[in-house]
Amino acid sequence: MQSILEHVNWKLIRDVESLVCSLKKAQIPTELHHYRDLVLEICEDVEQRAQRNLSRIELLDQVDIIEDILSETQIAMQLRRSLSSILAPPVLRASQRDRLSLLIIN
Amino acid sequence: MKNDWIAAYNIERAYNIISDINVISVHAKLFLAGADYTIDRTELHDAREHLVEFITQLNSLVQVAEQSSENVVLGTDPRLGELARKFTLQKQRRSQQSVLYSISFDKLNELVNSEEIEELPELISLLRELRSMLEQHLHSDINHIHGDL
Repeated sequence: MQSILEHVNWKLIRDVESLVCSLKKAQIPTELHHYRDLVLEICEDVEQRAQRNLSRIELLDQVDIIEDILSETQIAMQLRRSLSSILAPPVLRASQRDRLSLLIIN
Repeated sequence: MKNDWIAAYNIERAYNIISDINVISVHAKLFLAGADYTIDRTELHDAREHLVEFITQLNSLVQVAEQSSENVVLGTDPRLGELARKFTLQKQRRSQQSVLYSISFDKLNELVNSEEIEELPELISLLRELRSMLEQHLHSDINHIHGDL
């Protein structure tokens, strides 16, 4: 279990780093800048959770906190899923033609 | 759309509360085991404060639910009201089998802030049950959000 959790959390960090790169590279209308910043904040949150899990995994030889790490890993995974399926696509698929719609929404 | 927002808000709140539970639970277990680690006092203090605030809020809704003939809580955040309703039902059904449903919310809040070694096993057990209840409650909102895709 320990090695699985370690693997999952490292993968989360790599995935989020890759997503952050894509989000920052995306050519987006000005109206989406604030939204992208919010998505990047969530990416940072996921990365911090994964880093914290990895720090806690190091404590497993002293005390059994595996259920707590598992719970926190599940949250990070669910957030990662929401990022890739719901939150990031509007930025990654943005186009200058979206401006009118974004202006109306804003 | 309205239900999506309610589900998203509930998910965010549940994530935060579960994370607070995890922070307190990890600290309690390490403290109890006498493990060698550095405590992040600010993180622990914030987690305790948020959890006590949540328990107090849930307590007031559970009181309303207990007074209602069908355990219904009206005029509040619907998902939190639903959690209070489920809590009340579980309390009526299994209060003898579960520590969480037999302890008072005030005692629970006291335990959350406790550093007494002899109280920590009970706290760990209560946090485990509370986390499990929140994870179950969260599940339907996650399905609601991702099920729409």
